[in-house]
This record gives sequence, structure tokens and C-alpha cells, in this order.
Amino acid sequence: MRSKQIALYGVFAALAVLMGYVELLIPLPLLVPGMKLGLANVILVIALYYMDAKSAFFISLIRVVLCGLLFQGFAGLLYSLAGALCSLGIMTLLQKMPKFSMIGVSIAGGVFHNIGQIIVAALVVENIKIAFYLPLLLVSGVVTGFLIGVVAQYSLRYLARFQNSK
Amino acid sequence: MKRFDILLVAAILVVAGICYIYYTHHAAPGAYAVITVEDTVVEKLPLDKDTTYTVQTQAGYNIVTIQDGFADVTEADCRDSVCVESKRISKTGETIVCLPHKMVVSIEGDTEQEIDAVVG
Repeated sequence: MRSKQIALYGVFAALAVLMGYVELLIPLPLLVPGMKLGLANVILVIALYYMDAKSAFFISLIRVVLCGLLFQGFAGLLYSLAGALCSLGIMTLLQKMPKFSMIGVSIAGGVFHNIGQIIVAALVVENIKIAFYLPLLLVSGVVTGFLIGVVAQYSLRYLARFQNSK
Repeated sequence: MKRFDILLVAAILVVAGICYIYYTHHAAPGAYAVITVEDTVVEKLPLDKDTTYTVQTQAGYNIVTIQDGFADVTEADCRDSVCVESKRISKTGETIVCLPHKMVVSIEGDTEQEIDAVVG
């Protein structure tokens, strides 16, 4: 059981890092600094439901450190970390409430990822005016969060089938 | 989608809408482009005079161009070029941010705004 878990951690962490890379390859019309697809969140939402909050937390941590060191440098790492922690925190909270579906959880995660990043950005630049972008980031968080929730939901169906077949 | 999901989305969109209305309501044509590096004002450029200014920070440079009453970052050697790709700005409160260089170009009106006192 334990070795299976270790393997799962590895697979999920690798996928999350990979998603970070894929995201770099997709050119996005940059309306707002900090706007992102948040593809890695697909993996984290799946991890949150397939495993548990603790596992998702560690996978997120591994992803942020690896992605940060590989693609972004130290400042980028800081933003990612803030975004990831905010996002995972709210997702863990909402997941425990049965009144929210996976899509709702994912939307909250996307939105709070952006909020976390903007808070760090405001602290680093020491300028609250950066919150000017908040409305756009909120809306983009809702849209990407929704799409990611849908993808995660479909993926989990297949994962469940895979688990049952053993 | 459950009912609470929809409520959540509605709540977020309402917050976004309020923020947006607040910002646009307070946006007036600005008079100056204020360039800030790490919270110190380095230059204040009047928007009605076309000019180019090079901001030299410890991390690199950004070139700010004032033209037709708009301020824009036209060139920079930062890693992500977010500032260069940002749209040009002209209304009070609008900003262009270069995070790698910790540089902010923001538009201010003729008179000092109260909000600046709060931030400072």
C-alpha cells in the first residue's frame, strides 16, 4: 500500500510539473499580468479528490518548487507559492462541504490562486494599485476554474474505473 | 454544478463587478505618469508632452514613452516582458507593472490624491 502511494505521489507531482511546462508553451493573450490557465490545478483537484488534502498539499509544494526553479526563478517561485497555498487552502475547505461540487471547488481554487498572487505582487512592489487588475483576474479565475473543474471531473471518472477494475 | 457552485460564481462576479465599477468610476483623465521603483518615485512625466524616459533599476531598464497623452512601456530587458505587452494607460489609477524590476508606472491627476497618502 505504501509503495503504491509513493508511486502515486511521483506520478501526480510529475504531471503537475509537466502541466506547468505545457502552460508555458501555450501563448495566451496577456490582458493582465498574472493571468494564467492554471493547468496544474487540474492535477491538484484530482489529487485532492483521489487522495486527500495532505497529499495534494505536498504535491503542490513539489510542483511549485520544481516549476519555480526550472522555469521562473526565485521571484516567480514566491508568487506561485502564495497562489498555490491560497488556492489549495480554499479548495480543501470547500471540498469538506458536500454542498459544493468539484467544479465549485475548482473555481474557488482558481480565483484564490489569483488573489494570492496579487497580494504577494502588491507586497513586493509595495503598491496597492496593482489591485486594479483584481476584477479581471477574478473573472478569468472563474472561467479557467470552471474548465479545470470539468476536466478534473471527467478524469476522475476514468480513475475510479481503473481503481475498481483491480 | 450544484446550487452552491452557482451561488459562489455569482458572489465572485458581483465582487468583480463592484471592483470594476469602483475603478472606472474613479478613473479620470490623468495629468502625470509617475514612475516608481521599489516605492520611491523616480520621475513624474506630464502626459501632455511627448517624451521618452529610460528607467534604470538595479535589475535592468524599462523605456517609458509618453505619446498622445498616453504612457506606455515600449522596451525593457526584463524576463517576462509583461510591462511591454501591457496596454498604454492614460486614466488616473491605471498602472503598468514590471514585477522583475519592481517598477510601476501609474497615472495621477493634477492634484494629489487621498489614496496616495494612505499608501505612503
